[in-house]
Amino acid sequence: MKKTRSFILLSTITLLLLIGGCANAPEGGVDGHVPASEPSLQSSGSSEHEKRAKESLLLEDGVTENESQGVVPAADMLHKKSEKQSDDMERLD
Amino acid sequence: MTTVFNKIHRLKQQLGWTWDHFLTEIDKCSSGGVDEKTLYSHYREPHKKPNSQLEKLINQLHDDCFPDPFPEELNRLMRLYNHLFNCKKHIAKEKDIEDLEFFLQQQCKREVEWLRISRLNWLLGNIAFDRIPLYRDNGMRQQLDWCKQSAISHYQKSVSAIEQHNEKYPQAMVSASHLYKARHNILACYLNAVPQAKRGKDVNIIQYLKASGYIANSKRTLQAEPFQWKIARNGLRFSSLLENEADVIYFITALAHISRHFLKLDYEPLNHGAINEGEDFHWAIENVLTSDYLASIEMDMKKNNKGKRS
Repeated sequence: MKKTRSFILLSTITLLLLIGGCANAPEGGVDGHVPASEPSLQSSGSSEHEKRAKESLLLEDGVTENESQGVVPAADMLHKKSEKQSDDMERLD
Repeated sequence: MTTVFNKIHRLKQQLGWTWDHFLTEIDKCSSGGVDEKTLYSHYREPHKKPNSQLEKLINQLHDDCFPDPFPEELNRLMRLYNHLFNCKKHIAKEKDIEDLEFFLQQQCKREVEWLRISRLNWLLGNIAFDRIPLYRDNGMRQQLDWCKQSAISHYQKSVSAIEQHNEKYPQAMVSASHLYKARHNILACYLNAVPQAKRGKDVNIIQYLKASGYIANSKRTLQAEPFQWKIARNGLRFSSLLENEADVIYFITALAHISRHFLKLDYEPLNHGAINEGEDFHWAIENVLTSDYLASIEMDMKKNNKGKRS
């Protein structure tokens, strides 16, 4: 139990440091260079099969021009498009 | 997230908490204190944004009077995640969230205390919940379904763990409001997974709404805490989606009693849009909440107030 609590504490401190760094991070990275988008929805080792599966899904409702051509949008594009709808229900903690 | 408005009301509702007593309690927390006018205006206006000093004081008082049942370190971890999720400048945000998620999953497997299991699952539910709009807006149905199911499953585990705790420790029961919140999150998963224009006709939302007794639970919670305008607003939303006139009237009346501002449909409470801007409220606005009807509610309230005074 003690080990578990220490593990949580360590992880919490690491996260705090990460967030501290995040608050101080410049908008465009070093020298204003815009960093490459994070592969948030595509794991770095995603296979061709997975890619094709994602492409086929994009042909469903709500597809954009890019998507209809079978192009998986970059993660940063997904973030731009995922602006909260005006009246989504907020979660409660 | 409980607002300062709600916290002030919850504190004020306690036995013996006159405004004088409230101000004395605030003075005990801080030498600077808060003036009566400011406190009272935050008590009356759901759109008022508190400054950081007032927010801190009210949070402190509220935590003292209504201690949270969950382990503090997990609540702090939840706050850290919220900051991480909302940080727009964090470069490796998704990766860090994935790492946190992995850590939480491992912790969950080892955990034996019900309240810890509940909170860990709640946080895992939040992580999956927050991904829903991303997949919905990009038409990625498979990922969307997976996320929605994952969030629902974690919130359900959280509810079950609270129920287990309450059964085992009847002398230290977790209050019904926490169970309400977790169930509210489950409903929010169903709702947010569907684009706004399709929500009224979505079978899953309607089925869950009816099966979960959400409307009845909302009314019960409002009876205990009539100041909870978010609960009344969501009650109004779902009554509108269910096209239930009696419930629409119930929840708009509840909102009007919290603040008459809500009788103006373009009113924007703190961090929320106006009712007349939300498509979910469309049926209610078209069929019940006419300007004549809203004016009649206001008139009735004025008459009642006069009656009470005389």
